[in-house]
Amino acid sequence: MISSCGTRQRLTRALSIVGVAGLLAGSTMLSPLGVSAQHSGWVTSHPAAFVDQGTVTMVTDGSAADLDPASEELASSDNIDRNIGNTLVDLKGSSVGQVVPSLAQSWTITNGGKRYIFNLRHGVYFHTGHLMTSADVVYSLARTIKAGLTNSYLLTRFISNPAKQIRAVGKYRVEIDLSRPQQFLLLALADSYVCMILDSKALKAHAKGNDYGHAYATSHDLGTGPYRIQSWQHNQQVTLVRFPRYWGGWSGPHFSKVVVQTVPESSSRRELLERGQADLTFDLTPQDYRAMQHNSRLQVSSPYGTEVDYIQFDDYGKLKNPAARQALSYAFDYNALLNGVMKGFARRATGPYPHVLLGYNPHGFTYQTNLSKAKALFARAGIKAGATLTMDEYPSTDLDAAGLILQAQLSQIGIKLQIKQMTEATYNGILYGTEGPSGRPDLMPFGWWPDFNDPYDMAVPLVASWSAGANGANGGYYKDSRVDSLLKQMETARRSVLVNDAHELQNIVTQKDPAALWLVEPAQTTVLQRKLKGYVFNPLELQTYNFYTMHH
Amino acid sequence: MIRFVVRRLAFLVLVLLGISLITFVLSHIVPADPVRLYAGPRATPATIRLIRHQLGFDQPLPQQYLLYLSNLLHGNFGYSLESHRAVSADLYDYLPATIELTLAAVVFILVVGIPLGVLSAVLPGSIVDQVGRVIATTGVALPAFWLGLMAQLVFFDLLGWLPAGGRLNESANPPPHITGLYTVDSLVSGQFATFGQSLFHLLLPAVVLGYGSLAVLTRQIRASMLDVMGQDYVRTARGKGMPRRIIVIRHALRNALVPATTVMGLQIGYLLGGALLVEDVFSWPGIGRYATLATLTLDYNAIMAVTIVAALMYGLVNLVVDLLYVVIDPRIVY
Repeated sequence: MISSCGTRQRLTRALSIVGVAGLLAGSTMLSPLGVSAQHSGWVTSHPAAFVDQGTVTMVTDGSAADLDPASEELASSDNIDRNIGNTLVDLKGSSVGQVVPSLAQSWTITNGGKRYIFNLRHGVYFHTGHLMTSADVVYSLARTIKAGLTNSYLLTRFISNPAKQIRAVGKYRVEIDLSRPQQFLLLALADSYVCMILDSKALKAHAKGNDYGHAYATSHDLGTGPYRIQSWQHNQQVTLVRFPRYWGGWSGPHFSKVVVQTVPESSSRRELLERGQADLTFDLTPQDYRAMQHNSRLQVSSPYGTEVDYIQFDDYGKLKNPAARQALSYAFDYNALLNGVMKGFARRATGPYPHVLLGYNPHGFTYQTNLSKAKALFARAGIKAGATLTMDEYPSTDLDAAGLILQAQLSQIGIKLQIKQMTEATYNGILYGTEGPSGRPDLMPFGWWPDFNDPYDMAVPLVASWSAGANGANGGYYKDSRVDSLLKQMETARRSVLVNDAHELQNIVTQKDPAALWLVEPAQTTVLQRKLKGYVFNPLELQTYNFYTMHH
Repeated sequence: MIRFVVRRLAFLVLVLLGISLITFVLSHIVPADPVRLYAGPRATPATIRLIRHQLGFDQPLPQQYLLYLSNLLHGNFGYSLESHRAVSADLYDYLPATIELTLAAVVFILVVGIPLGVLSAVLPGSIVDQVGRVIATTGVALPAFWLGLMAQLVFFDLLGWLPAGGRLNESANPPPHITGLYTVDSLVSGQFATFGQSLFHLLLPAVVLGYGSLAVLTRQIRASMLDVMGQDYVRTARGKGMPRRIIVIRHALRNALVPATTVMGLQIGYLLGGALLVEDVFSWPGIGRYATLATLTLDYNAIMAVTIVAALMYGLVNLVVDLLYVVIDPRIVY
């Protein structure tokens, strides 16, 4: 006879076996989903082991110069910051409008949209060895505003008094109070170039005077990102190596080393890729891209970002009359630029908003080349055959060509276009100078992209009358009271109103009272080795690459 | 002799002062805004004013110049808008790279050019002379940047013999900075693999850079040798039965080297200027590339520093050339 004790023992043993089997089955299901033990609350198996993919080499024409997110604005510096640092939130994959947790594990928005409460991730280490706390977040964001350097504008739109508005509440909570609801704050905080969180202890220890540690941050790695700087030979190479204590972990395949080499000559970059001595590059010529598309060992990725290239009109003199500006828009040969020069690595821009941006109107008016119509409009504007227009420009692949195309088109209807080329420094001096519209050329080509997915952010620097001259990129002193009024409304509008306002603004600055000859959205082309996977393009993070997601 | 050297150095200081003033004035009268380029297109006017004030660009020009000179005397070249760090730090990194490239080019020119020029003169019409003519023609006709691109295409892309550019392989660590010349520093610190790598990387850009000057020196040596070989004392030496080798090397070449030394001194100035394009093609991080970027972005302090340093180097090289005359030709006395 089996005693009750024996029966209980057998039952206990049986249940144990079932329980362990169940646990093993459950953990096996969890692993492919990438859910880690800390966040799931489940008892899990070990996360996937790190699979070292070795070194990935990127060749680029520029060189990193300044790592301080409060001041750096070069793509080459952004590229390094993106990999050595993190923000509170991140843009989700290729999305321009959705954010996911990063250094902030979660957040809540209260008080009618005026208070943001961020709960920070625990156990995050800076590359300096310090643990991240709310003090670092507060200091990093506040210094960007208070230092008053290049990138302070991004946060001063939302926060005017950081000492009062950004607070640490305990070790892992940050509260941001706004004077009014701001629907784009999270997107601004996801800006990896400006809102990177730095080690405040290191910044304070190395501050010189009132510089908020700027001089130190320019050349030192103070981030929490997956990679840290191993070596930096200026104008030559930056070498990053994996940071073992990275909070995101190293499960699965990742590169353990990243080399970013400066190779100014595009033909050299192409050769390095074709010979397999580099893994990715960008900023080659359209002819290079076309040729490399036929190379079976390479992949040419050409997604569209948020950049728009255009030729700004001087809202004065000959071009004061909107008919003259419409004439120029009809005169331009868009096909020649898109297919002849850009070889298909661009698409038509139909206004200041790129296709992916909130507020873009897919049914907006699009000019078609029509020299007869252009001639008639010039006549209506009082510009006769034999008149001369002027254009200043600096060397740039598509914009130089645009000037020449326009010159050729105008010559067919008897209008002369004088083009003056100069260095970028001189050009910027004119564009952002204090010279009034009477002293400026009739046409000035330029390119722009927004800081985040906000049509107000995109349009204000270009077409707001208060952005004229030194105050923004409205180098043509464009002024339209309807546009100004729409922009003032857009700054605080709800989404549905914002989109309608953006459509109307697009219509005015394109058709009714053109602010510019809206040319193209250039493709953000990258050439990679075909074996390289995991490249995720984000339309807002141009010319920067997240190496952590890449693998073979 | 010492008085001669002191006089030349004192004159060099005056020359540098003049160059600094001219460069300062020229760079500041160009209508441009380097601060805007530095700060980026979205910086507010308040930020621009702040940066301009921090850099001292809002001071009157004479005050800026005097402040610059005062800092220069303390070895402070100012702040670079392009690299976002002290110009002296940039020079510390980039100048040795250019010196190394230029020296390698000079070695190439002398090692190939002198024998080729001598043999061309001594064996006129021979295959060596023909080769010399081809080099002379192509050297002056082909622009350095084109030559560089073609050399990359052939030796890197098609043959795979030599690297495309850079000073070392991407995976290599540079040697400890002693002189900044990777070849020297790696030898001194016993990193022979790095030494080999740095020589390998130096080969193609040095040959490309030196090719034009090789052409000039070869023809100069040939012409001087032909002139000297026709002199009476050479005919006398030949008549006395002196071995040809002794006549050519000890008598003729020595006299032919005087004008060649002058030409070589001038060519070093050309090499420094030509390094700009070659450095760009071969991704060589020297002051040539630095100067290009400084000019395009109107980085005042970097432009001043590069101009002054280049003028100083050129002046010192020519002083050395003048002193070499005394070594080559004992008849010359200062």
